[in-house]
Amino acid sequence: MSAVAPIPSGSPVGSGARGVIKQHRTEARSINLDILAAHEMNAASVLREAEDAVVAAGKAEAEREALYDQPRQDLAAKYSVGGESHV
Amino acid sequence: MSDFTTEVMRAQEQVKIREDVDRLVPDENPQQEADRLRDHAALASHEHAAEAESIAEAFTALTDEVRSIRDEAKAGRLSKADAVKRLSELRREYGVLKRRHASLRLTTEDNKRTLDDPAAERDRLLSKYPSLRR
Repeated sequence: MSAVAPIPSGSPVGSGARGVIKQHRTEARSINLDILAAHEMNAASVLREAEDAVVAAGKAEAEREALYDQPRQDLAAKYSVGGESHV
Repeated sequence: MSDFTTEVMRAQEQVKIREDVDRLVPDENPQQEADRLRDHAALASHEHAAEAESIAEAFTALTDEVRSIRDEAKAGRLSKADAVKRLSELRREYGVLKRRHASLRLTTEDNKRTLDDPAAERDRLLSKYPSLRR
């Protein structure tokens, strides 16, 4: 058996009941929006962190290349004969 | 928020207001009109809850993908160029979700006002947009 007695047909719904329904809906909505705001902030933070990480990884890659490229070019210039590299 | 986004949200609000005012039936008295607005707002709150859930799920999926790209790039399994490309796509997607969120927030604030005091909302709508009064 239902815990809530059915409302007889034709009986007016009191303003008290309306108030409860209204309050329930208002609470549910505000909770959703709070969660949504947290999701948005989290996504923004994770995106920024990933972008920084990719930039840092790219810089490290470029530095590694520069570290090996310069001596390689120097050697190529030193041992080139007639414009042809012998390194 | 860009000027364009503000304009889009303003246009959406105008459409919503027009819909609300269109719901005012000439034969009804102000109390019936206010009740109608409140009922509509109560129904709309369910659509807003579903939209909020959909946006939240999309934010979660986006965050998971961003983390995966970050980890792949850090481990050297993904080139910088590919990581930048995929992250810029996700940055755009984030912007879309952010606009959906902002739009939903505006709509729900509007809805909350109607639920709190439908009679005042009816009066406010009709005084703000007298040309819509039939």
